Amino acid sequence: MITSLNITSAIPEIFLSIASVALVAIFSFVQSKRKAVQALYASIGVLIITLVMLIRNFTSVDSHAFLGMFIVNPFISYAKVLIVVLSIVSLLLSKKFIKMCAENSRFEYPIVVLFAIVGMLVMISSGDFLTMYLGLELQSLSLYVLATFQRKSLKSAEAGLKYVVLGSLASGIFLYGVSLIYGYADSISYKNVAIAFAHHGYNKVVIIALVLVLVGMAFKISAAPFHMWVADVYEGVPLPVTTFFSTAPKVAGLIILLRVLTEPLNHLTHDWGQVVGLLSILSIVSGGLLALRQENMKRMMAYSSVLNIGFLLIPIATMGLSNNVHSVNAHVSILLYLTLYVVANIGVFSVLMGAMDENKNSLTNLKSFSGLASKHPFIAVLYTIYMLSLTGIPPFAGFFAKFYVLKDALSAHLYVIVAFAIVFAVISAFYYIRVIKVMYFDKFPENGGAVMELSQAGLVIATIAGAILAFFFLAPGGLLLDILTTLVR
Amino acid sequence: MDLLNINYQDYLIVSACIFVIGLVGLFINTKSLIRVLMCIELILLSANINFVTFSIKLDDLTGQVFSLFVLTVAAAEAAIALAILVVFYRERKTIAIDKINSLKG
Amino acid sequence: MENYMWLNALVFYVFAFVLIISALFVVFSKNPVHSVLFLILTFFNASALFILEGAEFIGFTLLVVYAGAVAIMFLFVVMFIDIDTHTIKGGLIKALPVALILGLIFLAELIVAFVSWKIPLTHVNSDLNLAFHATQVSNITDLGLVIYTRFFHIFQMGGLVLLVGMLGAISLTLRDKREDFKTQDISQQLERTYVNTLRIVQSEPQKNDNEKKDSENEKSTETDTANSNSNSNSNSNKDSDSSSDIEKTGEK
Repeated sequence: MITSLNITSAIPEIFLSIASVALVAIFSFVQSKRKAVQALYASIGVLIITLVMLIRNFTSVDSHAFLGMFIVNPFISYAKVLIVVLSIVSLLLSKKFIKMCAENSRFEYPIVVLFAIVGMLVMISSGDFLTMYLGLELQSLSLYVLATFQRKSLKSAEAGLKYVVLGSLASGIFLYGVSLIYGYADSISYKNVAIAFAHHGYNKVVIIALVLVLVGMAFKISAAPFHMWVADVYEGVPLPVTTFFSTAPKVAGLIILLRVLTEPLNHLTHDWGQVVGLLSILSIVSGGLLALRQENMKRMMAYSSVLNIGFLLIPIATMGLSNNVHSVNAHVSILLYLTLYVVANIGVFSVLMGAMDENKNSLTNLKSFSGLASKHPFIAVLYTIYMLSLTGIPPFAGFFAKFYVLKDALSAHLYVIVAFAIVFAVISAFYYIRVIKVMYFDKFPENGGAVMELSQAGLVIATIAGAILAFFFLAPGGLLLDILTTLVR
Repeated sequence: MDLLNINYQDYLIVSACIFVIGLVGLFINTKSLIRVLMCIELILLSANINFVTFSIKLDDLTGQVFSLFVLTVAAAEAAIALAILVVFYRERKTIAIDKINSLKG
Repeated sequence: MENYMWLNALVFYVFAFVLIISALFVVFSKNPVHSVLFLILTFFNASALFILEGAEFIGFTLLVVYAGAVAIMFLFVVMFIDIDTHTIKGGLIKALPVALILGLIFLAELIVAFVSWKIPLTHVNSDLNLAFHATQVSNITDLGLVIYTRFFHIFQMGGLVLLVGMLGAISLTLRDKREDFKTQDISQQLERTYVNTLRIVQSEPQKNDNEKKDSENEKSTETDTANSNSNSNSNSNKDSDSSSDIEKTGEK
């Protein structure tokens, strides 16, 4: 048993939480017209310091803090770095939104984002269910607040309401499952739960608990059939919030799902392998079909995220069904897919944020992109890259992500899942490529076409995202793959 | 089963009843969102009953600590959920579930 | 011993019965206010069950936190929102029987699983640090010994969750300053003195409408004095720029 608190490996999280609380305290007393923007810059500064700490904290071995309730290993550290980078990017993109919401000197937006990040970081490096539950709730509560932050808009309020009701329901179901696991295993720490599953036999309660836990977590990562909230929430909340929602929480949710399944429940691989495989197929099918008839880019991206969650679940299902929870390939392909998927998402949303009509209202309809190529050729090229990458057409990055996922599944003989994945990847090409068709072959409307007004940060971020996706097959791809493989080993 | 001898299983059955009532109540009501939030409180309460019961049965304090923090989280969650409900009410002037329909697709 | 067991069973059955019945009423009662009141009853009974089990601290905390705070918060919101309870009476879905049957099936499954579940007497994970010291110390001491030491970081996380709850609730619902907002500025009220407030206007004797003006002046002194004496909200036009200082500084 580990006896000392040994907080060194948790220092980034400790710093981040203390800094966030300090920012709340400081900005409550700051009196300035530009308070909200100052809070934004302060939060970005805090996040950059956290990022440096996280990178310095990389260790090649597992390290523990808080009596083993907090675990850091290279796999987790990589996910944390990814989350913090994504949060910095989405905060950079949200400056205009923050200014818009700054009536009444509401500075809370960036600070609530910080709390959400604390929750995610604690959650993914948790060593027991209690730490994980509190991290999950800290994340979810912050996300509920962010969803409703633009409170003057009915859509935003409605999206927040749907999110909070379904999110709390998911937490409740998850919690009931955890309580059963606790009763079964006499412990909540992942290690001891695994030991208990190895010792005691199998009974009905275990299966019920497993199902409840999986349902709760599937809600959180919006895997079908628990995806009904995702499109409404994506559409209702303002674009910067959508950007944040579609990136960092997905990474955190996927990583914690992987950890919960492979660490405490690693003796039930056969059971959860089947359930996750089913969730994966359902997500791929419903994400692929529902996105087809969407005219709104936000809703389309929401269903595209369901589809991608389906792809991301394939490696987990592979691990379960081939009974190999330490598979290096599966870990690497999840990290690779997550990284490339969120890069494409960031790109899509950062460009979408610039689309306005003459009255500076945000445009998210697909129609408003018609003929974009004639007016803004560079942006059209960027968009083409994102869409081709999301479709998975070589040599763009998305192809490699999908390739590694499917290769692994094939070598485990999961032909059904692979068949579904390939068919629906082709179907998804319809709606991704439709965007390109609208941009290049439709006529630019005489009046009321989209005006692209990207902020400087938005343009830089969009270009970087496009460059990563387009040139991934050159040096960076191999490099990233090597790095990930060494990390996971 | 000896009816006079109350053991942990009886508590678990009570908690299962509360859990199912909360779950079913959440899905069957169409009019008041507040009642939906109350049903979520019921679900959390049932998890709490489980935790405490197991804690006593297993002679292990972790369950009670867990349930203490579930209480904390539930209070914060209720506060935020009700705040969002109030925001929604100010915009929509109703909290009936079948009126939540501005987002469709 | 036999007698004691009988009493224990009776108390359990009474509380469990009322618990389940009141939970049902939370869902099925027509008026949302009644739902909240039944929710409070549910929490009372759950807390009684906890105390019966021997988890006194959780029981009392449940009472304080839920019945005292959460349920009252619900009640406030119901009062605030459901002004017209007639329009939202009832309101159960059409597929009610199906939902009920599914719920009953799930309940039956849970009960079957629980009844057949014998928790083994030997544990693989017994952690002596977390065992009760029931004979020596009380339940609350037991909990206090671990919460601030072993679960220290959890305690801090709980604090963060509550902070986010507070921050979120305030930033979502605190409204813009409205014109008709009445606030009380205590320091201003205390600073008011007889000298500053009471004006005695020397009215020059004039030929035209002399009487009328005199009476007007008298009136104004009277109202001013009354204002400062009564120490109430000074919302008259004269004070309106400084009367809501707190509000403004918070919003600058």
